[in-house]
Parts: sequence; C-alpha cells; structure tokens
Amino acid sequence: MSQTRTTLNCHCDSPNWGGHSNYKSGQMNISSTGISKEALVSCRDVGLVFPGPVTALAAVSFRLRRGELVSIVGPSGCGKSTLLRLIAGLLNPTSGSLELTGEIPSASGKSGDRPDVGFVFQDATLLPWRSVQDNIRLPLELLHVPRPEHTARIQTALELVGLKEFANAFPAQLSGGMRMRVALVRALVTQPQLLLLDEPFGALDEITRQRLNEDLLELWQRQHWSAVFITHNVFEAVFLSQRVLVMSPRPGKIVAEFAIPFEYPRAPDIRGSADFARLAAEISLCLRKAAT
Amino acid sequence: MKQIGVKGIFFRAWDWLAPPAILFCMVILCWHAVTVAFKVPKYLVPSPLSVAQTMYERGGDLSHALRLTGTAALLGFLCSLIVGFVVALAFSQSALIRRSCYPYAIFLQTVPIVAIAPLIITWFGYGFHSVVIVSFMISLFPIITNTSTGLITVDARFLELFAIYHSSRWQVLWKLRVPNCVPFLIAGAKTSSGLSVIGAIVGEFFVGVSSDWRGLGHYISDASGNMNTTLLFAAVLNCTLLGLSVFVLVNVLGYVVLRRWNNPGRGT
Repeated sequence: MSQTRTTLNCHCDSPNWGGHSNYKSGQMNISSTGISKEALVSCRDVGLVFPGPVTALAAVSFRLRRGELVSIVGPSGCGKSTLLRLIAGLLNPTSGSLELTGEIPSASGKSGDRPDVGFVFQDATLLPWRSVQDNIRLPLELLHVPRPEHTARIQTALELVGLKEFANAFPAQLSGGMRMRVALVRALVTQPQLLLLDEPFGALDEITRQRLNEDLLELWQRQHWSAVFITHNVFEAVFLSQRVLVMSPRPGKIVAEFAIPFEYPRAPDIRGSADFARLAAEISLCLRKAAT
Repeated sequence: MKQIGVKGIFFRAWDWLAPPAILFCMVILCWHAVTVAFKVPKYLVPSPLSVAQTMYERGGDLSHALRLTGTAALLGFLCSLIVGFVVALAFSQSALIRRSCYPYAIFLQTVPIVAIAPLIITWFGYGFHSVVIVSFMISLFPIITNTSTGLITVDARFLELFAIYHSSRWQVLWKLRVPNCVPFLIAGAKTSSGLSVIGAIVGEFFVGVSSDWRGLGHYISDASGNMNTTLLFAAVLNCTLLGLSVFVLVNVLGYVVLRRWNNPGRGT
C-alpha cells in the first residue's frame, strides 16, 4: 500500500484503510453497498424541505471522487451552505439519498461508515478563551486522541501554516487571515478524508484571500484529502478546483458543471492567463443566467 | 522606558481616584457647613465631625460588627454562587427542568425578602444561620439568570463544530457551555455581591437586639430605635464600606479571570 499521506499520517497501516491508496489508479472497487469506492460522496436527488414549508434544496445530484477538490458556486441563499451541512451530517435530507462511502478509521481509531470530516466555517469560529494551540487541540480532545500525540500533531499543524510562534496567542490577537489559517489546520488536525469549506475566505481582503487559496492548494497537494469548497467568488473557485458546480437560486439545484483543466501545482499567476479569464467569464455568465 | 510605565500607571490611578476624592471632600465640607450654619440638631443630621468621633469611640464594636456582617455576607454570596451555578447547570441541560422551575426562581426574586425574613428566623434561629440564609436568598437570583443565559446562548456555529466531532453532551457542557458562561457568571456575581451585603443587614434587623449576633444591622436598628443618629450614620458608613469592598473584590477577581475572554495579553 503506497502511503500518499505523508505529513499528518498515523493510520496508514490500518487494514481498514482500503481504497484510498488507489484513488488515482482508476480501478473501480465495488463496496458492499454497490457504490464505487472511488466516490467518497454521492448525492442522488437530495432534497431538503424545512418546515414552513421552505424548499431549501431540490434534487441535488453530484459525486465527489476520492482526492478531488470541487467548488460549488451559487447566489447567496441558494442552499450551498445547507448542502455542505447535509454532507457533514449536521442535517438530514428529506428526500433522495446521500452516501459517504468507505469504511475508514476516524481519528479516534473507531471505524464507521461515515468518513472523518473536517469543517471550516465562514468565520474562523475559534473559541476565544483558548489559545491557538488549544483551539487546534480541541478536535483531538473531542475525539479522545491520546494526550501524548497532541503536541506533535499541533506542532506539525502550526508549522504547516507558519504560525509556530503564535502557539500561545489568543484568537483576538491574530489578524483575520491568521485566524482562518488556524481554523484550517484545526479542521485538518484529525486527518480527515473530507474537508468541507463554507465560504471560508469571504470576509478577507483580496490579497489575503489569494494567499490562503495558495496555502490551501499546497496543503491539499501534500495531504490528498478530498474537499468541497463553497464560495460565491468565481475566480477563487476556478483557481482552486478540478470541477466547479453551479447552483441555482432557491430551491437550490446544480445547473451546470465545469471542468477546470489547469495542471497542479497551479502557479499564482495563472489567474492572469487568458484561459483562466475565459473560464471565469463562462461560469459567471452561467451563474447570472441561473439567477434570473 | 519602565519609569514612564510606572508613572503612567500612577497617573491613570490618579485620574480615577482624584475626581471622586475631591467630590467626597466637597460634600463633607458642605455637610459640615450646613450643620454648623443652621445649627441642625444632632439627632436629625449629625455633623461629619461627630460621626468620625463616634466611629473612633465605638471603633471596637463597629469593627466587630463589620466582621460579623462581612462573614455572613461573604458566606451567603459564596453559597449563592455555588447553588446558582448548579441550578443553572440543571436548567441548561433540560428544557423541562427549566420550564418547571423557572417560575419559582422568579418567585424567589419577587417575594419581598423582608416579608419572609421573620419566617426564616423562626426556622433557623436568632443568629448566624438566618443571616447567611437571608443573604444567600437575596443574592441567588442574578447568579441563576446570568449563568443560565451564558450556558444556553452559545453560538450555533460552535455547536455545529462540536457536532462534527460527535461530541457528547458532557463535552459540550464542559468544553463549550461552561467556559462560555464565565463572563455572564461574573456579571451576575457583581450584582449579587452588593445584594449579599444588603441581605445580611436585612437578616440582622430581624434577628433582633436580644441576640448575640451584633452585626451592623443590629447597630442600625438599635441606633435608630434610640434616636442615636450619629451611631446610625457611622454604622451605615460601615455598611457602605463593606458593600464597596465586596464589589471591588469581585471586580478585581473578574478582571483577572476575564483577561482570557476579553483582551488577553500575549500568551506565556
């Protein structure tokens, strides 16, 4: 079994690790549920109706393959965040089926049918009374990761985003960009299979946002998790992802899918290329059509 | 640079202390002037000088009374902190408990303590226990309401964050709700600290003159019965000092604890 997750890895030798190592090979593993093990998330006609009734989502279908980075763009209020919460298991769909495949040990060592998920919110959502390192420690505590493992994991996490000297600082002392970096590595410290990002960089200034986009890509290339990235910024979506899904206004559904052909690692200056601009324009146009 | 820092602190303290101190002196001067100029009888308004004299002469009695009242008030306050916190914990864990008990917590707040103080004394005797219980009862409610608010009003995103990691109720309580309620608890404690002193004095009124328990309340009711207005003023002044010191104590403690929550200094 090839060990692709080199940076934050302690469960590679687990016999349950399964399909992860051949996520690039294109080979189809059929799991007991009959779904390709390659698909980490499969949504089929997922709908969500809140009591009222308000139809938040109408028949959303898409698949996320293992190791893939997909962005979802859509006008505000279209249910993007709701979709992300469904995937995270924070909400349950009222129709359709949503499956997260693979029996993957979570950071706690317990295996379950739900892959370990990391979530990054719109705000950094750091506990104000905990220092940076204690905020990163929180998921480890909640998942009962043995204490002796914490220090090394937190150190690695802080080094990944260059915040080593801020280990003891409190969130109120950090800039918005730094707080978001902490939130990012907090979500990654449990070594999740799937990272869900809910417009994480929306409140940041443009330069900080671009930096964090580059940092995020670097982390993704090093650690090979899968990610669903929600944003309303088309340029961000194009820069980051392999595929961009476009959602319509409420009731939300996916109206278009764009493949982004740029090779990784992506240099920051591809943002200035003609292909990049054309793709971004196409997606923007599609978004605008969907919104009317 | 350090010297400037120290000087800075000194000037800041001066900025805070000077205005009330000057006002205090002016009021005392006016008070004295009025009592002298209009020859106000001692039993109506004693001059500040005679109050100071009484405070000196009866210093032993009054400082003993201050100690007694202070002990009872602090004990009542501590009990209200502990009981209030535990009740709030119960409220935060079950909407059913909250709904069924909250009206009675309000009852505790709205029933005039003066009305039930005699009952408490009938039950718990003429002395220490009754004084502490009255003080405890009067300072309990702000702790319960503030702490429950802090335990219940937790940012929904924090709850989602904990849910992502399949946290137990216990983890949510101790790692999220309890730390979240600390600033609320301290705000409640500030209100309660003053109330606990009031409660102790009200309790002492009812405990009565015959009791061994001669706190400040005893001197107030005794002095007022004998038209000894000077002693009354001296006792009231002691009460104020007691209330003030409890309040300052809670504020300083609150400031130290809350540094982590508000605007913390750079970590160690």
